[in-house]
Amino acid sequence: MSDPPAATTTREPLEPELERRVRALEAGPDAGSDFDAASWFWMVLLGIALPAALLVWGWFG
Amino acid sequence: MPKTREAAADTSVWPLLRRERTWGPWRLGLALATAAAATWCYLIGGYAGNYLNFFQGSLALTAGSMIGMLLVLLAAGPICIRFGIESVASTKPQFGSKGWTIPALMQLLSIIGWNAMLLIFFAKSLTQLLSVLDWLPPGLGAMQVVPFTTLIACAVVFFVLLWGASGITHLSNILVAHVFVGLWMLYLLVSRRWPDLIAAHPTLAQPDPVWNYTTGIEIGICSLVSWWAYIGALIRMAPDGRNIVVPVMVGMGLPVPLLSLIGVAGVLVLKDSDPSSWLRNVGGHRYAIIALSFVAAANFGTAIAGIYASAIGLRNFRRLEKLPWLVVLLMTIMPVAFLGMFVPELVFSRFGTILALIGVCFAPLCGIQIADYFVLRRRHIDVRAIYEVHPGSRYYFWAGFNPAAVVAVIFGIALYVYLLNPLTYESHGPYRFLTASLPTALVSALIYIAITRLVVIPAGRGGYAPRIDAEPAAATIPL
Repeated sequence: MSDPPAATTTREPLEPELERRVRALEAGPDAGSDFDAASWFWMVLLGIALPAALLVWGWFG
Repeated sequence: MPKTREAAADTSVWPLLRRERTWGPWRLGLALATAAAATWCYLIGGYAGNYLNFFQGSLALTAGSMIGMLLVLLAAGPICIRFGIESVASTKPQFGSKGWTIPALMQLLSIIGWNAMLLIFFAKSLTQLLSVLDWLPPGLGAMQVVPFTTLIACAVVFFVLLWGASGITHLSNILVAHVFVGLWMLYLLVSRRWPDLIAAHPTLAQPDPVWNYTTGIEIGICSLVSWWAYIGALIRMAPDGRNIVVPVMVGMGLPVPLLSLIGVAGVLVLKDSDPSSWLRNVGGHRYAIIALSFVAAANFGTAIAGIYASAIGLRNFRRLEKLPWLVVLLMTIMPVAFLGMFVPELVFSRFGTILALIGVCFAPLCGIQIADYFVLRRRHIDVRAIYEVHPGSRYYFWAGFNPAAVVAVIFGIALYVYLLNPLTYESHGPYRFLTASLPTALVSALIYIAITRLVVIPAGRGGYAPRIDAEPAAATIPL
């Protein structure tokens, strides 16, 4: 089967229950939110700053 | 067990809607902590204790674990939390509408392997506990009892998980106590053997202190990156990205290094990382009972979360999508039960090798997902296309596979093994300054970006170009 033209997508029917869920997510309010500024703050603090501080402490301490 | 359509959503691979995702930060944190704390913490700590003293080992492991947790969170977190899907489904925009079977296979092998080992640990701990309590019938030893207790453990896991994610919730409320019992065991060892612990010298330490320190960090990163397989199935039960970061980083990222300290201390002082082996000597009969109960409970909680994640991952296969939940559960548990009942000693002697090799796959996977979501797609994911499999769909690429992801994974694995052979710990190149996981994730990401920009996007594949829908539009959901 040949592929469709570039940058063109076709939609296929989904299972009724899956379709209901996908439509709800596409509508917006039923989707979860992405990371916000506070999330990024905690990620930088716990995933970068804290490990960096621990590594410096472990090496020079 | 009758379930309403929405109540059964947590046993399907379909996206969960916001109102079905009821886990708050505390509940998520408890479930993650229960899932993370298991016998593997002692093994991880034991490896680090071979190369580093207690002080450096503790800090290097903790730092590495938090870095590894961040990688996993950035890779699978955004797509899973926005659309209520699990880890394997989150790879379809990168690997393609058929290529997702590659990460699915990695997840399946990793979880089944680990959980076979954990349930055998559980069975052995239970057998030792029965022995300490003098409840073991005369003439019966571990060899006779372990297959039977493994079967019992698998049966209990099966019945708990018939409730889906709520089964994990109920149990994690109880089993999270074992994290504190573990910290108490650490206190016991540290307080009673502090002079020995400070004086202990790591037996396999290399002459190069930088290499030893980097290896401690790498053990932490590599161990936590393997949590990719678990994390999506659990965080999709929470409704918002803003509420998952602290539970994930603290609930899953911290218990592993904290409990690993038991293994670090154990291997340094007593040359044995498993507390069920040495707590009887350190604390006596009563402490042995507590330790064995703890080890058994810890492995049990993790196995439940693992089997759940694996069963949900299997649902991505269309043939399994509509099967009753108990059938999918059985399909997931049966290999684990088989390994535990018939070849438990083989699992112990050989699976470490297989799992070490599987573990190296997750760093490239994380790099690819992060690059695709944040750099190439700029956070735009078409949730409908995740479930479309026909040749015209956005994530179909070529024959359902994205060559950029496949090539990046292969190069990433090869680079990891070159930098650090996970079986022999022989290292090359800049490993001693960079670790193996971090450059592997970075190089995989760069290769993925390069191939995508040079080949995939110009060919109009993968849904990167502005879309012209042949059918009524389904909006993507930007940030």
